[in-house]
Amino acid sequence: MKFENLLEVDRSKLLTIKADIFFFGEPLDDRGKFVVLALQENLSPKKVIVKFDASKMTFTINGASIPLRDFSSYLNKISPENITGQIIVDATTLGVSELLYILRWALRLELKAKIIYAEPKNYPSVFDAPSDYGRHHFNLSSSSVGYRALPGFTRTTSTVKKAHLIALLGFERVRLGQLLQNDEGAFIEAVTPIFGVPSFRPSFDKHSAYQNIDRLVRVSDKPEFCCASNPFETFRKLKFIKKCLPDKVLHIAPIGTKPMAIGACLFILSNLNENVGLMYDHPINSKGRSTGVTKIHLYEVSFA
Amino acid sequence: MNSELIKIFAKNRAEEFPIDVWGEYVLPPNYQSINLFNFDKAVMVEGGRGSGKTMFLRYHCHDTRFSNKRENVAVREVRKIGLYLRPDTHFCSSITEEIYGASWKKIFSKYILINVLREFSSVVNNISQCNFEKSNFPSKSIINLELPRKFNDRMRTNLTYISELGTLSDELLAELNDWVSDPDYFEKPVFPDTRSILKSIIESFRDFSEHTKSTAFTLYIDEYENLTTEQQELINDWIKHGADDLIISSAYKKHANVSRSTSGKESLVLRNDYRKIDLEDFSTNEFKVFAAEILILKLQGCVEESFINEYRKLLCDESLINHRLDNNYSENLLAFANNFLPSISYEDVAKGVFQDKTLEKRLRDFLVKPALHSTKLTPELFIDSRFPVESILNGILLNRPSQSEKYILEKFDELKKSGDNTFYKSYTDVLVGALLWIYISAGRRTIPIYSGFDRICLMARSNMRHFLEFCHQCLVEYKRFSELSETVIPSIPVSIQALAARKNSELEVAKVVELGRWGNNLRFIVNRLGLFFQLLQKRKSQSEPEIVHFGIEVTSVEMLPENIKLLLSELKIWSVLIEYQGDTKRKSHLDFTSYEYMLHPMFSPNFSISFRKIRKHTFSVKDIEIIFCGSEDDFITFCKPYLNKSTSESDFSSAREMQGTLFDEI
Repeated sequence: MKFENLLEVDRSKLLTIKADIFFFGEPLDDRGKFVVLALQENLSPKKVIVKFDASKMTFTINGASIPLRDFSSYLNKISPENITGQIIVDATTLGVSELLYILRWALRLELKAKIIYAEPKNYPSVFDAPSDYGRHHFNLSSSSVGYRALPGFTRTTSTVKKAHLIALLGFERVRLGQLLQNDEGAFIEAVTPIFGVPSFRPSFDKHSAYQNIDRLVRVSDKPEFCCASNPFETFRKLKFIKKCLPDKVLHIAPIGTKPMAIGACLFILSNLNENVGLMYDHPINSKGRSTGVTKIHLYEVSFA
Repeated sequence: MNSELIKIFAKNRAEEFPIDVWGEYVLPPNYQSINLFNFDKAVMVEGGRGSGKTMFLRYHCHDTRFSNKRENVAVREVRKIGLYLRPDTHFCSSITEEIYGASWKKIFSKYILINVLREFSSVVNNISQCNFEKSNFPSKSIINLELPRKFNDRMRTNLTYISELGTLSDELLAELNDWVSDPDYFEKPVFPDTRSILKSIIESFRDFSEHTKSTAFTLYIDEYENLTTEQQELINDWIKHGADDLIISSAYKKHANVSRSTSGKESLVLRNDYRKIDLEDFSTNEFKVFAAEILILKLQGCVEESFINEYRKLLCDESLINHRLDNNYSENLLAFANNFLPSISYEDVAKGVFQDKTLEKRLRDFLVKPALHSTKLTPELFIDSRFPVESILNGILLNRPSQSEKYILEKFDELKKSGDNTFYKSYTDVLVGALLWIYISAGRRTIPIYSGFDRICLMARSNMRHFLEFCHQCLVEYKRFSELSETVIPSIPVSIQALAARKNSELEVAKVVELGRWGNNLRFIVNRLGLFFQLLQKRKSQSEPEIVHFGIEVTSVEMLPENIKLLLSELKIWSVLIEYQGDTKRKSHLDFTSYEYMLHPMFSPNFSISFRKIRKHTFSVKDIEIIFCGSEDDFITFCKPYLNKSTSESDFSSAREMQGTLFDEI
């Protein structure tokens, strides 16, 4: 796995980028629509819309319902013949589960992935009313399927040899809270939180701290920080933590920004069968969860 | 008091304790009827969140029973041995038919097998180190107990002793994990029949000594409700067709939707196949003694009274439980607990209103004065610091249309002259509501009614974790304000308790979001119910004070819309709402379900509402839908009529101001 490029691009680049397949999800907000519309105008790649239903462990790919275990073979089937080149993956609209399975497929075929992510201008808060709760609370997801293991990316431990959780934190207290509440210290013995600093915008990091800080009291190691929009930095941070904890099973919870989650996915993929597992709660994202579009990132990773 | 003590109280989850809980666990008051060793078939252990299920199971398992903290352990204890299993439900959540086809059963059974093998290895280790009474039981040599003859062939291993199974299970777990993650890459593990492997080990164990020849094992599966339905059904198969040598029992949250079906047509039948016990099934008084017992266990080393140190020895041993039924014992304990968390009477809280200028002003200028119609009357005529309770009641009565101010004044003057308060006696039940009104009106966040051992026990509603979290918060607050000796436990002042109650309650409300996958919804429901009850509490007339529970206008809960049923069930599972069977006679009259729901009283201080179950509000199904699932605008519209009743119209000229008021409290 090689990190080749980290660029900021504009619409014209999206229109001309070359690839065999363009993977995307259902757009729920302005930035999602912006990226998907632009890439749909790009005639070069085959368009594949992917959605994962964690409650049924089933993918919907271009309208067809595909069981998780048939995911790779189905992608092989619908791919342009003799695919050897590049794919575009829109991480703005795809969730962590879709990203992981698409990237694993790309890894096995030794493809090059061009991962797109568009930052929003803003996240509207839940309430207009001035209160601390309202100021830091956003309607990002309506509910979640809950922490359900993804086959291929899960490590189990015993209550005797417990795991170390690395939580990439974001705006939703509920996500870390539910994880720790479910576990009750049975399988997780320590937590290293990673906050996305610098954040997309100067005030955003404050929300992550406000939302998660109570939950980290008593259970957490010192926090770590890595850039909210740079997956490669997240990757390096995770690599460093793993080096410091050589004998531990690491559970990684990518519940912060999407670029951090991309970094986590790449790290998990480069450590398959290496005591690194995923903890993920499969949120059901709200429509209109953000407004506007600002920076569009292009992260290029070669699995060749 | 040192920080160590605060840490001791912070530990209130079983997982934070060692697996050997001997000396750390207080047997519940109803232990004689729920002693797991008295059952010869499966037992389903039910209890709310934080009711001590895990500690209870661990007390009955080998790590505790053969603890080397014990002396003269009876050899007969080896006849019934408990094994503990808390499945990694996150890992197990993906072991399903959808993912692995028909192989899922084999994978799940192997997962159980691996974990139970580890337990067998611990059993022989624990027995070999246990201090048994004098007997011919060769406990030390059990460490050399060999594995069954065909074990190695069937498991593809090369081991000799049962004590080696611990290391093996780590290896097998990693092997299984690798294979389920990537079946194409890794070699397929063997999947021998779990039950016959376990049976063969039990046979080896039974052959070990005369004392173990009829040993029965019970596997206690904790967090049973978090397994998938199919996984529960597989375990139910084992329960249904289990043998006497390996009984399978489980523990789960009360109200959780656990399956009683098997994978075939049969279901588990209560009494025939299993017994059920409820860990919170004891009276308020029993809970108080239980809480006091846990208090003395936690405060060890910080109490000088010698009787307390004697009592402590009785707490964790079923053979001494009769000593704990003695009246003197419970009286002394309760006296100790009441001294640690002293109470203030409502009458004294009323007196306090007159020692606090702001509160007195709220009573005079905001409760009494606006209610006076006659210009000749002044608020001072109805208020007298020598009669604080009656003065406060005057404030409420003056706001009731049925009461004339002249008559009230007459009765108050009579009281002042003769001391006769007969008139007020019938209204004393509104005192708590009136006090809450005054404190809310003054914007006070700490209210002294949330204090005192008895009231805190009432607020905890038989839930020990709530009680301990309150105590923990008390100590944290105490330490902020006082320097204390290392060894002497003082009384926690009422003001500190009230502050701790508020902070603890705020934390409890904030934590609701974490409770299950619908946590976000539950959090909104708690806020909305709390704010709604607070609105009712703000009524000046207190015609229906202290409403914190509700009924629903529906003939049966089953008739509720699906989403409401689901949320109601989640609220019960996580003990956010407490369900009561209300007055069943009224059901036939009004044709509504008799189930009632109370917002857990630990949330009360956050909303400045009562923690007592006094009066009920009845919601229509539509009301409930708005509270549970409605938009913010729907909820504000729903609240508005109550808002107008509780305050004067002019207080809120626009919906936006009302919204600000409602949500400032969140």
